[in-house]
Amino acid sequence: MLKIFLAAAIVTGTALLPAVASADPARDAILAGYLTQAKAEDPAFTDFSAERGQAFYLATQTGGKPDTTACQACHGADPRVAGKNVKTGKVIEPMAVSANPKRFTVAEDIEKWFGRNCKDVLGRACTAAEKGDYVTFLVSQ
Amino acid sequence: MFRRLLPLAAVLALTATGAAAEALGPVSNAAAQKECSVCHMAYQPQFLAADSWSAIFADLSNHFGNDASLPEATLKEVTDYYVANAGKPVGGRITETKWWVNRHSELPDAWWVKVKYKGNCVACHKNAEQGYYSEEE
Repeated sequence: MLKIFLAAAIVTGTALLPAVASADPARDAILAGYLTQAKAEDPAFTDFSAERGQAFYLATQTGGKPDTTACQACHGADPRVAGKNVKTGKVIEPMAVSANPKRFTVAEDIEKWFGRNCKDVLGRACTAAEKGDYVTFLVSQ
Repeated sequence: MFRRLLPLAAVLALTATGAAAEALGPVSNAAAQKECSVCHMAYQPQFLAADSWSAIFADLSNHFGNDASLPEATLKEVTDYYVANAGKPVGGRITETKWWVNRHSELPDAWWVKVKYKGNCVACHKNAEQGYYSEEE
């Protein structure tokens, strides 16, 4: 009787833990790559910040297209739920790693999307620091 | 045996009536299906002529107002697929080809506002991605 009770308590306790993004070696390698680049771009750069990434994700940008003045325009204010392409309405799977564990694990796909979306939202390429902050924020969500 | 012949019979029957566009099948190249369906549905290659597709894929960073650039190897594979399987309609975009305009000419402007954009086939043609476009509504 006690064993069953203990087992139930452990299962319940574990289920109540906040969602923590599990480490992924591919993602870690990608972030390490961005960190190297960020330091090359700015020797004073120390490390990525989820807070900076969140501010970047939410901020209204200038220089891009009128439809897409922010990352959140398509990805939504809450990255843990699905977003919607602002032009076509097509559903975009959540950006938050807790909701979508495969996010940011394939370097070519990440670069493809940063390439397109930084151009559309900011009118320029994103810096390695911006990319790393952005990914770090979404890993924390 | 008859079950296997049925799709072939259907296509032949539809071709005979000149309605072959109603049974096209899905986009059959995996890269094309994946890359071209993130923002809109992956359109079947038969909807545009080869040169029309080439023009689109040559300028993906200016893809109808958005940057849809692809890595080089993927771009080549997708372009080759569309060009090799292209149809007859000539135009800058599917919804501006004579054929498409004629087929949709009776729909009011309000219709397009409701479905957001003319290329939103699946809004009305529920099985468009599988290649079925018979009048649904």
